[in-house]
Amino acid sequence: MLKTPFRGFQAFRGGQLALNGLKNGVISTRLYHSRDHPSSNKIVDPKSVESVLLTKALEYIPQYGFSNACITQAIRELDYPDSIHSAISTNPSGNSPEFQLTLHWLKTQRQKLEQHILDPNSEYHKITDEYERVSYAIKKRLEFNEPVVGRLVGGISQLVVPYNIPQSLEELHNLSDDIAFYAGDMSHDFAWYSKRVGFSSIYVSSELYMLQDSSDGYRRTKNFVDEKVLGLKGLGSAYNDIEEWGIFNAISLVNMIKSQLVRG
Amino acid sequence: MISRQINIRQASVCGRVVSSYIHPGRSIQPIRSLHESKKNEEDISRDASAKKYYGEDVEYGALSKAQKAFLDRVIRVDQAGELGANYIYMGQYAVLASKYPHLRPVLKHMWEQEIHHHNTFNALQTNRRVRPSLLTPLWKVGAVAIGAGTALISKEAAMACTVAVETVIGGHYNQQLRVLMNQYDVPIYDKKTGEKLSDDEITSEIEHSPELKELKDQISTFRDQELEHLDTALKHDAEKAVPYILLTEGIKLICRGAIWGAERI
Repeated sequence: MLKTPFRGFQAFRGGQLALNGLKNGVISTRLYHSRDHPSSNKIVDPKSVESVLLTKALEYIPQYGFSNACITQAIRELDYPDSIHSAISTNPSGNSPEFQLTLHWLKTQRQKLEQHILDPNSEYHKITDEYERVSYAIKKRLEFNEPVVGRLVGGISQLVVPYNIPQSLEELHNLSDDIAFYAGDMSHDFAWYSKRVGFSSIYVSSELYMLQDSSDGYRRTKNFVDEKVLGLKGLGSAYNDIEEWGIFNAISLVNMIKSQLVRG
Repeated sequence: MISRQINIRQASVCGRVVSSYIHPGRSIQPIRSLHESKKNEEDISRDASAKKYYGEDVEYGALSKAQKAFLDRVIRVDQAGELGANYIYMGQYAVLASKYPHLRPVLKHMWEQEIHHHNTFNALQTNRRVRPSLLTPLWKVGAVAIGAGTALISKEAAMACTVAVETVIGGHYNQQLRVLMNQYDVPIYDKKTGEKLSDDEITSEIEHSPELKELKDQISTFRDQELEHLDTALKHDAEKAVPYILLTEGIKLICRGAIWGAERI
């Protein structure tokens, strides 16, 4: 009963805090991957209250979708008092509970992918080609979507709310950065950016493809990923070839001018 | 619980280990005789000196966001800077090597060192997952242009360019080292028990993680080599370049602008 005016207040505060959210989103970008300070690289802090609640809430997504109901159900299941919902609803990030749930879903799935890749027994290590690794990682990540695929549209609609877009994009680019890094990307220049943007767009388009895919075991989605990654690889080598050709011609031009000058 | 509260304080004074201990629970008890307390101190001191931490026994706590952000900037700007240095020498070498054969080994030596620096920071950039500067293509073109341009004026102008660049780079490395020395105290934990080490248990060997130590060593070695290049350039008549002040100050300004840009973009 008391919820209606309270919610109105929250919506107001949400608007106020959205700017803060934007700021936090920018600051929380992973800046530096430490070797000897392992706790600096954590994706999700498993001990925080929000994280415990949201992780439990993920179990109810197939039932309720990406909605507040999952969090309510999780609080009941964990035998916490109802008031603990304020840990989510008045979170300093200023994000709506639904968006927090969606982001948490994305982060935990990214962490799961990282753990899968770091597992020495995983199939990933049998692949040696960089782009085949990328395509494997994208397909693996899409597999994690399977249990919630019917509800994913709700999650995506949270991600594309204008206020949420910066944080959604950041999470997407973190995913593509993980994929590129673990695949063994060694680029130091503009290629670094092109690769990540490329992987991000491949991931988004294949996820949208997956939503409409009715084939067995998402066979067509997997073919789609392979095809797109191959396309990106082709684009990369075309760029390198053109660059090499350009440098060769520039050097021969200089030499030609020199030879003409010598002849005088 | 109580055993955790015993805080062993150890301070090394003139090579001698002096120790005392504070037990919060005992502060309300009557003060013990001097003799007694001294005896206790000796016991504790023997226990404490038995446990000495080495690199593999400790785990380093998380770096703060500001610390990570600074490292991120350091690696990006140093990578861009070494790329610039590498390409400047490339431009100089292309113009000067055939004209002045006696300068060839000198330039070659400096250029090779710059290539090594550049490769080191390239490796750091990929391993530490730092994004490279977005303006990398611009730095490449600009650096070759500066190198070849000054070399086309005269060999003295090329050396003056080296003087300007290395002065700025040397100073910038020093600034970074100062921050890395002073601002990187992170909590250190015992790997087995997970307990935080007290200030006195932290020796200078384990004070900073090997990761940071290596970075500092690399930066200070590179700074020394850059300053060596500065001396070499001065030895090869850099100061005889015709508008010397104009050239060096102009290039210094460009370098500072590039540093500012490469840190951010």
